[in-house]
Amino acid sequence: MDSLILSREKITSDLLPQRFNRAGIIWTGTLIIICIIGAYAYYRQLTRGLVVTNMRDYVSWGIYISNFVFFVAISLVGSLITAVLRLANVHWSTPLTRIAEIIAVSAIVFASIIIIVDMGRPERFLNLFIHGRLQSPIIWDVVVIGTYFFISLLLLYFPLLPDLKILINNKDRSPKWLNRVYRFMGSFWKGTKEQFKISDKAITILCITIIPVAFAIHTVTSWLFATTYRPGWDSTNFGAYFISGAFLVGAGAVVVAMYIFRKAYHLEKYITDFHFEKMGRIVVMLALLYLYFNINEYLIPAFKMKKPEESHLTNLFAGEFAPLFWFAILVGMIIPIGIMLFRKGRRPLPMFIAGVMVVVGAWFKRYLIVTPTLLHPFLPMDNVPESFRHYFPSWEEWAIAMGSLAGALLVITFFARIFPIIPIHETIVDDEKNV
Amino acid sequence: MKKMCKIKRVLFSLCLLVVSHAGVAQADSTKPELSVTIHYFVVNNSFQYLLAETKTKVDKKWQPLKKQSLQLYLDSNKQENLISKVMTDSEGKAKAVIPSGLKSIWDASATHKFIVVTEGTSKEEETTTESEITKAKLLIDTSNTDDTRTVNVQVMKFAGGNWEPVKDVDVKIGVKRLGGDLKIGDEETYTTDSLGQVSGEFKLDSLPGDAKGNLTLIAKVEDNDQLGNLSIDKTVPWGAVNTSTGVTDFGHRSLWAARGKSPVWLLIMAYSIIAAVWGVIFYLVLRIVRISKLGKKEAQIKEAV
Repeated sequence: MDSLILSREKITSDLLPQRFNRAGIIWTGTLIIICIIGAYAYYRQLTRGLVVTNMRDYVSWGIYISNFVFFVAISLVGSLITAVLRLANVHWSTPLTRIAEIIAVSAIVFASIIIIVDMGRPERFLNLFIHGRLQSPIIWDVVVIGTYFFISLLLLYFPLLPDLKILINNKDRSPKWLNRVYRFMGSFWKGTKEQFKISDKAITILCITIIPVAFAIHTVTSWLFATTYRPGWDSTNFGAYFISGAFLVGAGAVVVAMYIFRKAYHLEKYITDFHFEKMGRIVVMLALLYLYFNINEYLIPAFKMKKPEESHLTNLFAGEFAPLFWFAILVGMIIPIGIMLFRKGRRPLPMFIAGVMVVVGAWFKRYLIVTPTLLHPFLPMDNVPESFRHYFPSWEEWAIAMGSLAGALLVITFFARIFPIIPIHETIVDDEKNV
Repeated sequence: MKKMCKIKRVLFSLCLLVVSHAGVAQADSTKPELSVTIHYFVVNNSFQYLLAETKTKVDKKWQPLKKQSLQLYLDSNKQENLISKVMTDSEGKAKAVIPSGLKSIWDASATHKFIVVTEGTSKEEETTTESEITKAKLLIDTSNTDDTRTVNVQVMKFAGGNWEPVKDVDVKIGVKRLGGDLKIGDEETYTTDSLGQVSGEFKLDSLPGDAKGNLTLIAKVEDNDQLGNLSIDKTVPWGAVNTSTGVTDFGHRSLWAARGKSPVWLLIMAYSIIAAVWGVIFYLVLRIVRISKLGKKEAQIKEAV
């Protein structure tokens, strides 16, 4: 029993939020600077109009919408790691659930922000509610993103309640204002049997609810494209294609976050090689699944090579976008599969490298889904300025997109500073069970 | 000493050059370049109007000059010859109809001069622009022989008290459509012969017309230096009868209908899903409230003990 009490204290001590060290301050400062540059670029866009971007008549969805699709995709990981694995009674994922959930929440917040940034006139967002048509997939997307945000927030909050009690009990470790935040959020949690019963039931309900909502969010996002008749988007397979890609990038992001948190907070005892091994298997399976859908999406249209799709496909395979296309396929899928297929590749460092490749490849993949199609309309581009025929984002677009990515990382960073990034209570319970 | 004088002269010349260039630059910056053009239009040989267009150079680019006051005169810029005082719109354009009060001046001559005077402002200098035209008209007729439909147009000008044909004038012949004029054949324009005539074969078979199958033919002379802009139209029963009742599906509930006309099945499906999911969210929020109440109760019990 003594060892158990010691173990509890050790777990609590190890997993309580820690102050930023020097590297943490540099990291946070860098992110804040990127966010400020992004905010300045957005100020320029607001005051001068969307003309500061390089989006024109044909490419009206550029890097912003690519970023939006990326954020929506990455947010799906909350439902995979938390809901699917929890419902499947998989216990090894316990230390990863909160990492997955905070990635989901921050990504969905910035998905909403970036879509408003893309509008140019942000106040017109209200028109969606005043004049919105229920028949439009854009309305479905707004509804489902809002719903997913609240469910993800609840799924983050319920498992946090027992940890809030631990944080309140260890008030010496936190500044006063933070203790006030903890008390406001969870002073009512006493850890009674009945409270646990209600909380466990609520988490199970959330896990069941979030899966169809998560599928809906990315399916509806894919329908924004698939419901329009354009080369590259005119596919009945888009929902499944998007969901498989989303699970892959989300899992890749969790692997990257696992490695960084493990290193930064010395969590080697809690995020072990075993977790990397298990996550590696999941990522390989998801990468193979996404590769399968990619083959379907590109090989079959290429086999038929319908006239209107020809220029779009040849442009991807061997034209202007070919380097980016093959980069996304190789770096985003094939090389990570090659690394993680073998046991040695499923060690922390190779997994981290493969995870970064998956995430970077996935970002460019979203860019390739959005932009080349817009440059290949069915009607020929006649008598248009040369700038309409090509698209490369302006510095304002890059700054805003990078600012939004930095913003999402900043939310995760501050969350890890304020709350335990690994659930303390659940880890103790699992530990007790093992004992 | 000679060398010094030479240097002084060169320096003096350079100074003069710099000063004169600065003077020119200053003049440029205070009074930007202004361009005024005037176009004369005659529609169906009866309705005449003028279109004045103003532009100014900003940052070496021509931009429309908005809200510029213009005075348009016929033949002479006297008060009795004033056609109209107008103000340019956001595109730098202003229209004026030739008033009936100037009929006697108009009838007195075969050629006329239009004068545009721009009012001088702090930014712009007063300018005067002139454009001369000869009175002209278009005649349009059609023929139908051996299943070949032809449109005949004649261009006439007023000279020496008579209407005379005009040679070598480019005429466009088309059919009026919603988005512009559709050419009747392969030719973009037809050039008048010595009789001032052009003929174009009508090749648009089964072109949708109105409920009676009528189409509106149009012949145009555009921006002719001597005649201005002339146009004439004629209705012919050469189109396919449009059997459309004009009733669209947009009034019915459908996926492509307006807001408020969503299909009932979609409304039921969407609102059921939204209600179900948000019902769960609401229920879970109530569970948090329940947990909170239990916690407070537990605290009270502990305090009592």
